[in-house]
Amino acid sequence: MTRTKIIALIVAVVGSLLYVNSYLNPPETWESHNKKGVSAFQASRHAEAEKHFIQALEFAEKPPINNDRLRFSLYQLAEIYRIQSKLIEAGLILKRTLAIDEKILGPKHPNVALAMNNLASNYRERGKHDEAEALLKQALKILEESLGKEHGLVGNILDHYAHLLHKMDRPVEAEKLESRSQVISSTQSIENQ
Amino acid sequence: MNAGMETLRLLYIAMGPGIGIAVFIYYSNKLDREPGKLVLKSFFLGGLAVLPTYYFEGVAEQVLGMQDLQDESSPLFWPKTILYAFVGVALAEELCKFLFLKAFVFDEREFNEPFDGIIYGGMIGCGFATVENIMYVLPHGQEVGILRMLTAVPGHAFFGIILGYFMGRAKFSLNGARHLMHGLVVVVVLHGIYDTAAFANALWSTYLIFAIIFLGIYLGLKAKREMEKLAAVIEFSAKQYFPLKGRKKKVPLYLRDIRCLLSKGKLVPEDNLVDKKSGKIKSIREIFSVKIISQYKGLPKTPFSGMPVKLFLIFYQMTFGLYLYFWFLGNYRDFTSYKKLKHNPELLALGLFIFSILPYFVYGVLQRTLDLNVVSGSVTDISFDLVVAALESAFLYSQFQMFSGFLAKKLKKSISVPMVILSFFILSGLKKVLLPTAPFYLFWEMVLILIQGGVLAFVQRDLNLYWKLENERNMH
Repeated sequence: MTRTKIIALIVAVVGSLLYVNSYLNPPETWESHNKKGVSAFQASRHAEAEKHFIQALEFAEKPPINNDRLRFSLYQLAEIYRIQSKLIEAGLILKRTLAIDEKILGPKHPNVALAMNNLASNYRERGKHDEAEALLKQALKILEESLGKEHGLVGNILDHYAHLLHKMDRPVEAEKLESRSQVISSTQSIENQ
Repeated sequence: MNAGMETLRLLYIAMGPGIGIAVFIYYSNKLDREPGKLVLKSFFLGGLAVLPTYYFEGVAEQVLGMQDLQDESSPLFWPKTILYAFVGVALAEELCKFLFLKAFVFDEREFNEPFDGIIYGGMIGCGFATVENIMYVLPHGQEVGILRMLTAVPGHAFFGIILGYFMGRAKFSLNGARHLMHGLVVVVVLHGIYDTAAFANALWSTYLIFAIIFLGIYLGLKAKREMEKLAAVIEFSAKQYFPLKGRKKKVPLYLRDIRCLLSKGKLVPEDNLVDKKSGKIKSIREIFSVKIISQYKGLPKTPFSGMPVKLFLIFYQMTFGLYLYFWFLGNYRDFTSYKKLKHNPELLALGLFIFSILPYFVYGVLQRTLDLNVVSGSVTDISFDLVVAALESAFLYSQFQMFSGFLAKKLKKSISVPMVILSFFILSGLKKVLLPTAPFYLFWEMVLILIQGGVLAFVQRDLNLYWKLENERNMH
């Protein structure tokens, strides 16, 4: 048997076996972990979903970093922590997401306000009302400046803020915010008609 | 349509073009048909080559981080894309085909003349294209199948023919290694440019993809033509040689006898023979080298056998009508060669191909540039389809006019060119106008192709009769 034939046989046999193996057991990727995490989440297997979302995050953190993927993974993980009432872990992730958004998008971007709102929800659930209020005030300011005072998202933040104020036993301030939110939502519904 | 039928339909779309071109390549060897077993082996080796190359491509994709490249703004987009296209894909695929061809076919006794490289190289390319096409078309559907039918499938088949051309030359020349290296470099460069364009995913890259495919087909057909001339010289040359072993200097051998003894294993390419006329000693490698093509002009008129009508219909159907281009080329070649006409058959066939495809791109660009929203099935859309059908028909008309004069002199009752062209135009127009969303679309498409093939089969019948009469005349 010639040397070329031996090489070709090795390439044919080993290469085909490796391909079949990789086809049957595909290598894990960011996409595959996300997919598995989502299906575990839909089947209410939260611990398994958390494991896959952590692994997806590890892939997303590898350079070259794709910020969209990284933010997506962070949100997925924060959500699965929240569902499992792991609020401290969720808070850390949301804080990191906010820092990334501020760095990439700038401190005045509406998405930064939304990240602040998410972190504020976490603080509210953990009873850290003062920190939550500070964040909501900032978020409201950013959204009013960037999108206008009558924007629907401003209404959403106002509702959230009002909810927090009720928790903090400040009903008068809460009602003011609620009435402002109602004006925005009625304006929105007229515009949509 | 249920899932089983859908899979069968997609399998047909995936396998038809590769097998169709393979059959065309196999039957293009009219003088010394290759053994079916070795031809099939080459085809399957091509299919097998997909597996190791796909594994390598997967590894290269991971290493270069190709999934993270979103668009041209991604860091190192072009260096990574070019490296992946040339090394990760083109070199891997072509090297694997080359290796399998060299290891399992090159040294076979039946590979007994340079032209056989075209057959076995083409088969490896078609086998690769067929298996790869199944892997693409089954998960991605009909649109991908139709696009690949015009790009990747002919690309692999003709890159295989080019590789085989150099293999054939390498086996029958004194500096085989150089030819092997040339072959590998040419196909890797062509394939690499094609893949770079495919991965660039931009409008300009679509034109480059088709340009490379046209170039590949053109070079492949040119290579095949050159080897056909060489095969004709081997078959009909009057030169004789005495072997230096066995029946030493007793029975002189024609080149076709040497070819026959090679396939029986009684001679090997390294054997030396003595030229009966000059007394010079030459190895078979030298005797069968491309240098002897110069004898082609002095050969007696090569008889043409035409093509069985049934075979023509099968080719036409299996390639979804794409066989028209090869048929067009074959007819031009036969008449150009036989009547010593001043035509370039390859350029004309390529012209027909380009004129059938190019208008769709111009139309697409116009729609985008002028921001036109042309609805499928609208008057504008139908008019455009009919213009393309008319362009194809005009090309065929010019060819039929060329040979109908010859046919009219020989045959008592030959085809009516206007009638054939009119029928072809109507059927081609209907085929193009038929909306893919129509019920039983594929069925109606196949019926129209069958009828269109039937119309052209009348021309093939007359051509067969013409060549038969010409051959009889030449024999007398």
